[in-house]
Amino acid sequence: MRKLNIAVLIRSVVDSRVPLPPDVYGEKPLPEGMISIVNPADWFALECALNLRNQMNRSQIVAIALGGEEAEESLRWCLAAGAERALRIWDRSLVEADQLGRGKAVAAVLTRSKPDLILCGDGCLDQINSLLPGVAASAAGLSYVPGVARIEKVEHGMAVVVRKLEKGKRERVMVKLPALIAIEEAGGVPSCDADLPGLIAAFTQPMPCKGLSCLGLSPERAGSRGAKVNNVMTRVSRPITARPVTPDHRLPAEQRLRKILAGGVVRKQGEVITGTPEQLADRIIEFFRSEPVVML
Amino acid sequence: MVDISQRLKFSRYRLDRQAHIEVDYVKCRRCTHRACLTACPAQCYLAHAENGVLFNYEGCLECGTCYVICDLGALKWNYPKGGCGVNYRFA
Amino acid sequence: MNSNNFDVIVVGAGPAGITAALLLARKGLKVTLLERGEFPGSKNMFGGAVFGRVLHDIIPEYWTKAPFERFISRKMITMLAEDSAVSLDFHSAAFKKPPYNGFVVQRTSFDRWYAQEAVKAGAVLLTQTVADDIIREGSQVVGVMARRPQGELRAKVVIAADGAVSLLAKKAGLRREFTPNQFSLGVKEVVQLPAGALEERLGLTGDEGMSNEFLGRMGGGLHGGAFIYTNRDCLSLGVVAQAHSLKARKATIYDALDQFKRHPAVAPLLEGGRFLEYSAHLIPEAGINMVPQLFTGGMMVAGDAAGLVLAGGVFLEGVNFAIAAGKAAAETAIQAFEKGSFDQAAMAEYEVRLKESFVLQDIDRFKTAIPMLLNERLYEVYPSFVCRTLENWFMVDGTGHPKLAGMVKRLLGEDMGLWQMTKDGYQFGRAMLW
Repeated sequence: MRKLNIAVLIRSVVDSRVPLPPDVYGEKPLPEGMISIVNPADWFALECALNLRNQMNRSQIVAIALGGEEAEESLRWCLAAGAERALRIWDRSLVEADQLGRGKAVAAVLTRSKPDLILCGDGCLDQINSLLPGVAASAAGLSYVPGVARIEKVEHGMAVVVRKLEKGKRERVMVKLPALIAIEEAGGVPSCDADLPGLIAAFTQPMPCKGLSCLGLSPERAGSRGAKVNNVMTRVSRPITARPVTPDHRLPAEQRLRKILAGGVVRKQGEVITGTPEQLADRIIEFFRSEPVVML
Repeated sequence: MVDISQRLKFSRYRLDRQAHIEVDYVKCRRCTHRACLTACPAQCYLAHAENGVLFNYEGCLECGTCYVICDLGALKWNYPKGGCGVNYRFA
Repeated sequence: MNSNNFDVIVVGAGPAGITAALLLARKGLKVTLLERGEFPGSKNMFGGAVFGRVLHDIIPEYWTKAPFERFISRKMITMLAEDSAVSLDFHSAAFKKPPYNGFVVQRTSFDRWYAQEAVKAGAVLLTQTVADDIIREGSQVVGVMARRPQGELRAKVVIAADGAVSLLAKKAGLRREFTPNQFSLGVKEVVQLPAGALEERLGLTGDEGMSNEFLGRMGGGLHGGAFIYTNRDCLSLGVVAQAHSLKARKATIYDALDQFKRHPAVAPLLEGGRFLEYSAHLIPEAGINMVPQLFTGGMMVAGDAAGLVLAGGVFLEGVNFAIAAGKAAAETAIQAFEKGSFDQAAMAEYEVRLKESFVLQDIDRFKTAIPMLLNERLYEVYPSFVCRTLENWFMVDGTGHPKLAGMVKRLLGEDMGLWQMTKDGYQFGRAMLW
């Protein structure tokens, strides 16, 4: 049986599951607040690749990321988790490139390394590179299967996957390899229980980085100069004023207004509740009463 | 009283499935002062009718006050798994 | 792969550990730096100031490279009574130019930058890795157990800089049980102010910053203090309370913090502020009395783990002591590698170096401040006494101003006798003056 080469696309994202407070001018998020992590869906895809490799013994995994130093760290964690090789693509002209340019760069890597199966997460936590896999697949002329719940089997140059459709429907798809499969995150905490020797090896080995010229691309084709979509400005989202904390009514109107504008509103978010089982149950019932989720 | 959980909502946590501090409630029942209820800066210890205290590890700030203050040795205190627990961003 | 062997293992990427790793890596030794957080600094918290002359020796002109918030040009000490306060407000031109006296930093940015300096020098930084135990061979420490599969990690020297609650020092048998009178608990809130408000309210321009340390009875009768430091656009403010008073008073520190925020001397500074983060950490404050045995064969303890914090009432310094201790540990390890001997005698050099530097000298010099800091009248009586005296003296209520002496005597009589005050005065003098 031929060796199966699996490539996993890894994107570094800003952890946007926590509040990202804006700077004093309210223009952009505070840089200290933005923590770069591996896109959870991509990490899940890597775990799927590792499982797949465990099932079929003759296969190897290469992790591919596009980005600067934060991408390098993400890739090192992928190596620690068990990927055989890592490849970083970065070029100064990619900083301002659009999704088409970045997709072409990834496509160039994929056409050169000719993996049989390419995995990535479906969706991207911070939405910045969410189109990347699709664009890369089309630029490389690969089939693209998004919204995959699980991979059933990979054999004889075919992959059988289960796709999620609307209203809980599922479809089983057979796709001819090479193909790019975007896997939906199943939830749960991403584990990073890499063993220590693997971790040390991952953080001591040199990490190759390919620029556009190594990939036979030019800044005009893939970089910022070729970008058809340009970012003019990024602004933080306005907080969802779900539960405004009412300021003290005894304050003068001007101060009340300043309180509201400055932080009197709490952004809507998940809540970790603690307490005795009775208190927890009460809080959950209260939550369902106040939120229009189910009728109680 | 200040509801500290409202403030902890702004902090970044990565929760482990396993609690990093284990409380031996048998020993807690013998405790006379129950100082952990008030000493914990994250309100992780709550009063409980049967055991005296009830510990929730989720909001823990890993400061160690409970460990230092407990004189019955009721705590199996450790740091959470690598990368888990609270991650400060502005401290 | 047999890469699990290093020359030196440093546990904890804080100021002490990073300094040690940086200096060892510069000497070409194979050194790894273990950090349990997601990145260096993610678990670290302090009030706000780094007094960086020692850092200047390691990274010359570090202020041009490090991500600092503001340099401290204005230092205040405030005595806090229930609804009044008296401050000493010190401005210095010398603090405003290089080499600056102190900086306010955010540890999340600062420690991350500093750790990258160590990585650039060649140290191997392993984040998200907890060191659970030490490995011994006879009396010699030969490595640590990391909480990972196949987590055995061996080295000639282990430097434990794993923070205030140093489980490694305890497991190595270098320190006794942790007790409440060794520690204070500090909590901090970072509050973002509207644009320009910070400079306006505190009279600062450019990168000038302010530090204000408060002494007095905190809410709920807690003994300790409070602090305010200026970040770029935020204020870091917090309360420090002795752990034994937390235990004795059954008061909560967050209520004390809230009360502090509502104090008339503090509340106007926070007007219109946006809450960013709440954090908590222990401070080893018992000075020389809690410093563990600092070394054993193949192992040294540095930073907060060794209790190397100067708590002298008006001083509360830790980072500079940690950096100096990390440096001393690194130099000891380098010397040990030159000689090829890593036993207890070789490590004893570490304590000698610390005694020669300001680290143990300062901590020893201010050990007399510890009884003063544990004197409850320092929190219960004197701040409110001073404030009430001044309040009565400055009050224009139509009854005429008394001479100070008579009033002091009257107010003193309410609280305590002259004899007690003389004794406390002597204690203060022993602590701070001679």
